[in-house]
Amino acid sequence: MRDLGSRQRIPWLLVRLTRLVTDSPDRLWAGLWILGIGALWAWDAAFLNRPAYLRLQAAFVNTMAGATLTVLFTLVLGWSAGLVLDSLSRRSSRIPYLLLTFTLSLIRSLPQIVGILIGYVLLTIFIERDIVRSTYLHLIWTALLISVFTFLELTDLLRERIDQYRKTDFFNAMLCCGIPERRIINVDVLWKNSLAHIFQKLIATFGMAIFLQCSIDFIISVGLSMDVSLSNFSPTLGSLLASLDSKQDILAIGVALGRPGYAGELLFRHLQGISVAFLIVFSLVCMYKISNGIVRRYRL
Amino acid sequence: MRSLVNGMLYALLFSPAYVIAYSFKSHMEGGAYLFMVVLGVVSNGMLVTSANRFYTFLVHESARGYVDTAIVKGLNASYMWNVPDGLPRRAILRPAGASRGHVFHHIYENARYLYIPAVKQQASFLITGLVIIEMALNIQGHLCYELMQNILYRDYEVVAGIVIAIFLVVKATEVMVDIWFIRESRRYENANA
Repeated sequence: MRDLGSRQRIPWLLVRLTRLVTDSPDRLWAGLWILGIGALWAWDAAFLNRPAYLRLQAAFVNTMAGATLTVLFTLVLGWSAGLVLDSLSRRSSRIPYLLLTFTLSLIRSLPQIVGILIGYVLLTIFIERDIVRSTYLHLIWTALLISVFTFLELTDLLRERIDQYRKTDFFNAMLCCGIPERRIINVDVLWKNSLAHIFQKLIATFGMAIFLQCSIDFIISVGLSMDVSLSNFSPTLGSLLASLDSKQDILAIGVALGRPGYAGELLFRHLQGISVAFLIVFSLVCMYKISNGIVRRYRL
Repeated sequence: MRSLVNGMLYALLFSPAYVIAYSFKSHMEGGAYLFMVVLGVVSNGMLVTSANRFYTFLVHESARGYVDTAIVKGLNASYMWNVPDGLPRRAILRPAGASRGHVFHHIYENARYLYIPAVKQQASFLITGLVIIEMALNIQGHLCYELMQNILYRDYEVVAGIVIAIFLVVKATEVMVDIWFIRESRRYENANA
């Protein structure tokens, strides 16, 4: 009897799992992302040489850690700025509000990569003067720099949500009930009623952080490493892609386009560069799809 | 086959410029300027992500009450191509003009209005893409390559000048978009009056 019960349970579980994944494209793409990276990890473990495999693993972990840090910094900065702007906008004196809005507008008008480059120049100066010594500090620094340029979107979103709810009856009703405004905004408006919006924005930020971090590390590794040795920095996918081996591997894609018979070699002889490129591109596509899926599921 | 083509298109759109450039480098000698423009358009994943915001507005608008009212009142609402109550294929190129009489026309117009302020960000994203392309591929003779060289040789006066120039370009775009948005807003206000 027990066997029959467990047999019946397995298809039911499969049906539930299939439904869980197919009903929401965001879950499907999150699953595909994990599966794809798992498959690449297994393939590289079998066919990539050991030193390159370890470098790739470290670069992937560092890049994901950097992107996660960016998301955390974005959340903290965005949430704080949203609340401060909302509070300042309703004060009688407009000067602090205008000053903060002007500062944020200046940041908004500076292309992200230019701002991050300026931040890198500062980092190299700190390293030269021996103020910064930790090898992992550049990851934290980059994450902070990227978040300075990504938190504004979150701030805009939070302010839109607060303004929208402020017009509704429930906001005034809660105020009349004696609930502090700070609690209404933080808990009832943002946490209970805007979580899906915030989550979607943070996933998009995660994708953008991967793109910007890889790009800046690639640029730094290619052309801006005159005085400071970047070998002391923790490797990322961008810096690994800029290495000569990876460049040769990527160049082999062009060769394979001209000679299709060579395509099979890409998965064995040029695995390092192909794996790095795959990790970057596949992660970006998946983040885009997950973000889209959340928009569709919650009709944001 | 369709999934494969879709997958390849996504891979192309979301590949950073330097990945595409190094894949094709052997075939692109001598055409750096054109190559850079094509890369800027095709490979800027960040721009695609930002433009995706328009999709969010379309989804948001399509869930609003006036859409149901319009359907009840008999506006075309099928999203099949070239059927009597569907959309003509030319709506891809002219979404507003070619979709008259279809509920999508109203969804599109409203989403477009909401999206106008977001165009301001596109200038910043586009310049970010170009900076990455010029610096990562060492394309010489352009502003961003000069920026990289001057950062490298610590000539901060020139760096400051280039950064301010880029800043002003973005700011000018923002002012133009603001003017466009105000004009659109007035058009709607007049229509309501």
